[in-house]
Amino acid sequence: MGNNVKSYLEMREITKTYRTYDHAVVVALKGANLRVRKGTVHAVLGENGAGKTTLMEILAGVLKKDSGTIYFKGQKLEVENASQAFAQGIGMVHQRLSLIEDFTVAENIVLGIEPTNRLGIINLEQIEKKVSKFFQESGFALEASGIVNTLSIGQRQKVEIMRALYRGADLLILDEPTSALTEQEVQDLFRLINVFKKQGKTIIFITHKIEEVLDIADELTVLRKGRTIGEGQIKDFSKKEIIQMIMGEPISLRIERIPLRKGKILLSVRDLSVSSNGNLERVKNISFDLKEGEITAIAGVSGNGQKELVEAIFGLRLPATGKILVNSKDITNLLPRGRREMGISYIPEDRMNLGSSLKSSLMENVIVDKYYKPPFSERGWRQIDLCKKYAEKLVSNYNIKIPDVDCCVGTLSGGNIQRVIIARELTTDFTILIAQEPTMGLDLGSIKYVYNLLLEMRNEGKTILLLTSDMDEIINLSDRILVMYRGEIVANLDNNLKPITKEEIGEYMLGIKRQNHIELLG
Amino acid sequence: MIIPLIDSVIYTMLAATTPVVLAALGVMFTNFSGMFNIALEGMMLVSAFFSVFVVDITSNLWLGMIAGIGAATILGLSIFFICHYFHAEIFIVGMGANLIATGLTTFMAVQLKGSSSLIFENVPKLRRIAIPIIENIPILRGLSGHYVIDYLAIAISVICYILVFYTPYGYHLRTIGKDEWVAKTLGISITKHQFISYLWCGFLCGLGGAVLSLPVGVFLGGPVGMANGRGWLAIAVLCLGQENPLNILAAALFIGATSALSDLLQVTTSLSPRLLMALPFAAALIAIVFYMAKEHKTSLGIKI
Amino acid sequence: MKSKIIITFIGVFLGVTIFTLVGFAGPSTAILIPGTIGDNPLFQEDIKGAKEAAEIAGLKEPKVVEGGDDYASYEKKLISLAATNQYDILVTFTDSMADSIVKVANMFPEQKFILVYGDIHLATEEIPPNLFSSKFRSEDQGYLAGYFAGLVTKSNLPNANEELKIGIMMPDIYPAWNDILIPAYEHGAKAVDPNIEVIQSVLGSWVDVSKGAQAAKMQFAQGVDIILLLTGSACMGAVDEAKVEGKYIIGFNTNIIHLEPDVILGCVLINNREEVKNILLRAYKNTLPFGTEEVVGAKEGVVSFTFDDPNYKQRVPEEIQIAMLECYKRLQNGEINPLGD
Ligand SMILES: Nc1ncnc2c1ncn2[C@@H]1O[C@H](COP(=O)(O)OP(=O)(O)OP(=O)(O)O)[C@@H](O)[C@H]1O
Ligand SMILES: [Mg+2]
Repeated sequence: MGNNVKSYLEMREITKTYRTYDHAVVVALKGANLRVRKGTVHAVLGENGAGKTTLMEILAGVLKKDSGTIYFKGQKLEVENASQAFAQGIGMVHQRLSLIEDFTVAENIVLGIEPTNRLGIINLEQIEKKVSKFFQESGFALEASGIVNTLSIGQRQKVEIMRALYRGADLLILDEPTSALTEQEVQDLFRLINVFKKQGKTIIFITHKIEEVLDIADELTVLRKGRTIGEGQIKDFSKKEIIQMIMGEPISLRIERIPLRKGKILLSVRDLSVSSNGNLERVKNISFDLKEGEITAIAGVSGNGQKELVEAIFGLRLPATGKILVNSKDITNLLPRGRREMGISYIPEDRMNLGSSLKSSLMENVIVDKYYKPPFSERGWRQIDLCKKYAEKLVSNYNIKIPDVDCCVGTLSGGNIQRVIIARELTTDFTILIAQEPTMGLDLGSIKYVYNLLLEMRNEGKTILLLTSDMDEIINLSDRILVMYRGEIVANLDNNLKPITKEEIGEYMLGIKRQNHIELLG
Repeated sequence: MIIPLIDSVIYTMLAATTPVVLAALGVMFTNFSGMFNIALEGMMLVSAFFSVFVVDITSNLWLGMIAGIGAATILGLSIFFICHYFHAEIFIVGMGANLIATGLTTFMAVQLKGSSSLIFENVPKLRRIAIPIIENIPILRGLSGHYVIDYLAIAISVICYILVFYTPYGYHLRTIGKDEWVAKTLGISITKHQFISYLWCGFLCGLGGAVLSLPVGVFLGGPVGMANGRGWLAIAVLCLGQENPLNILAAALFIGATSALSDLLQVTTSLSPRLLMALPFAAALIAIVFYMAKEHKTSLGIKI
Repeated sequence: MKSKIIITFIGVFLGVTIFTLVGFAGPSTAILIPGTIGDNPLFQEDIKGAKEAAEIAGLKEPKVVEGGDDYASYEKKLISLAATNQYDILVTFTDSMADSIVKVANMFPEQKFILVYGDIHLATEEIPPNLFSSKFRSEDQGYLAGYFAGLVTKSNLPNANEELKIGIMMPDIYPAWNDILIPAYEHGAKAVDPNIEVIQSVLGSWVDVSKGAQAAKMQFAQGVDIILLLTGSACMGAVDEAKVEGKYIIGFNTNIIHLEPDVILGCVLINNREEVKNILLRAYKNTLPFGTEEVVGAKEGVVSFTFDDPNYKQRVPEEIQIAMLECYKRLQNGEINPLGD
């Protein structure tokens, strides 16, 4: 039977059921098929929770399938764990990054296959040299001795890709690699993918962004609710058809944003300077105001101080100098809970570590910012029934796919975890929202839903600080755009006066242009 | 007059360090593997019992040491298997193991000699080993004349350091400790490493228990037992030393030094003995508080 | 399923209760041990004494109840023993039981109680009429030990040094030790030479042997050459340390010289077995003056020293042996006040 398989990779009738300790059962794959030809870029598409990640992790040996067969290079593939899959030439870059933050790049790359001397001792210098050489050969600029936690998400993604290649992957699986990358970084990645393709490698590519699919992929497979519901050549489909296949209905991200009259100032940042862990000054003397009924975007190439700025505003990092005022009250020394009580809400970029507690239930995750207040607690007693009802309401409002609210959040698909966080942060009495990559990993339908929500909130008179790597999101949503370059604000652009173009922002982002003081005041 | 005092402070410090550093290294391994073992006290106690018991039967110190290590390892592995196969809460199983160790050793001691304290007569005892030249140098003299396990403890700390930071095994272990997910995606077996870490913990706590009973040929059971809180101090030491075996050694030496200091002040000053007895524990507590405060500040990005 | 478990529990509970009640029937004397018998040779001797008394009087063997490690339960156990109404006499020991026994004696005026080596005045000024109490003069013990330590540290025994320092080591802090025993020890030593200095260590544990060894090491480094070990097995670590360092030890309450004859030169003893036997025999003959207290010590022969131990005789210099006997006689005659004037 294996002999008449023409494809490079064929997965047939794969099923997978997750069972958790509290006996909740989730059927993630109900007989999914995937056929991939050698030397192509193959897009795997589907809405949140469709089973894309599950299917790929089975292929990469991280998960075990319940039933079904896999043929790879004409032979039946049976792998017990990830290192066996690596040995077969299957490498995967996971949706949830899998790097050890305090290890160096080189250490992360060789992790699991460390070379040693005769005594079993590792020589770090030698490894760094080897990895550096490998980077150079693949035309890749990255410091092998750098510590991973100093790298941007995009750079980390590259480290993961390099790790897969270092281990000799012929089949490279990329699970939503672009969701946190800036446009520039996405272009870099695509260039890299094209190089791999030329070398005869095969790439499986998962994304929710249709433009990217049209850009880079040759073929596609669409999953819905654990089944394969479409496959074929990209050139045979239009953008609309692809969206229709994924979501079951046509969706457009176009939204109506009517300019509002400017309201009063809700949050002001005055002469703020913030240092990174390594004591580098990352934010330099920044001042700006956020006004009622306004969405303000902060644009910038990642690593220009946006992360530190947001952390300082929310109280995760103490500023070196400067003040942060909410309704003219100084909150510079408040802890995050105090700031939440001043009306700040925060959707963090790192949804797995900062945004949610993966080992806690959904109910606990959505009440964690308010469990101590009435009506969730009355006279020191937690109102469990009420909390549960509240959580169930959020699950249905935000269409979160979860068996019940006591399941832990770690079992959800990437997009569903994002929905949990958005549900929690938007269902409070906030006046100021800091939204960092709010649509990261969401499918089109959910993105649309979130956009509408954000606009609704703005129209109610709230203020939103938006940080995102998606330029279209910035241009479509924001009233005002601040551009950060090397820790300073270099441009203050009003998107309502005349529509700003991507190119214009790009010039400021790269430091080619810079506004003068008067322009900066807006 | 002052020189012999310094000698004995150094000597006592090292002697007090040994069981604590061994147990702390043991719990370090289990901490890396993500199954934090709190049953150190119990493991030391069973080892203290079985090692001296076997020496009494066989008159062979090495066999006794092996028996102690074996007993501690069996207790450790039972904790591991209960938690692994029945998904039991590790802390509760660990507490249970501590209680069982106290009960079991006391029960067996009473069965054997009708008393929870076994004072064996005419058993061979662990001998002190003098280091030829050092034993005659004032002050350095405190480094000489220890038991074989004391010297071993220092060597083991260094070996653990190399193991943790310079071998693939150490890398895999630390990977699991930092993020199990990463280990899984790279095909590093978590269960296997948890199992091995419990073997380590058994071996190290076994040695730590043997050094309590073998030098004197005595086992003392009862509600507190002769481990006398060292297993808990070891956890404090781990908090201070974190994941570096040499830091753990340093932290254990610090605790040992406070213990020696408390003994010294009792015989040289008229400070309240009650206060002085609490010194090592108070020192551990204060050190941890300071350490945590420092960690907290670094996490907020404050210069210190 | 659940009801089955409950029924099993109730069954076991009832069974145990009935068993204990039936087990109690018979003897007319009951002994409550405040602690465990196993690790305390004193209690073992007490029980032997009580058994001997019963044998001589031709009575049933006394019932022995072990209190265990749960201090809080002793009083309850005493009450339940009294409540069974099956024993003529209830016996218990030590200072720690003084409060409880007075309280229970007042609760059950018909029942007779005896407290051995416990200071009843810790609990009350007025001794209940159904209670007899006997207390040992621990100052006699302290003085004897101190005198011996003084003689040894000044002697030319091979391991005695120039310095006039002696040590005392105890597992924990007790008022009775602090106020009586230690001052008497000091007095005894100063009677030999007023320049002798006493150094003390408290271990904070009854069972931590290594701690005992480490504390002894500190004392030896200070110039101490002989240490009195007050009970507590943790002090055994000191014996070992003394052997390595070549120093001496004095034992307390029971004779432990055979453990390390070269190191343990002598022990102060209390003959509690005879005392318990005596008291009970008097009680059986109805000659025991209930409602009063007796204090016994060297004079009554209850406190003594290892004068007859063959190792002592062989290893301790003749003149020290003679001096010790002399001192003991003077204590017995009341010529010495062990706590000074
Ligand atoms: N460890 C787990 N335990 C239980 N259920 C799980 C687990 N991992 C995933 N699931 C469930 O399986 C289904 C498929 O998840 P999967 O991660 O494959 O989705 P996905 O297609 O990758 O979605 P997304 O686009 O959001 O990443 C989801 O309903 C999810 O809740
Ligand atoms: Mg996914």
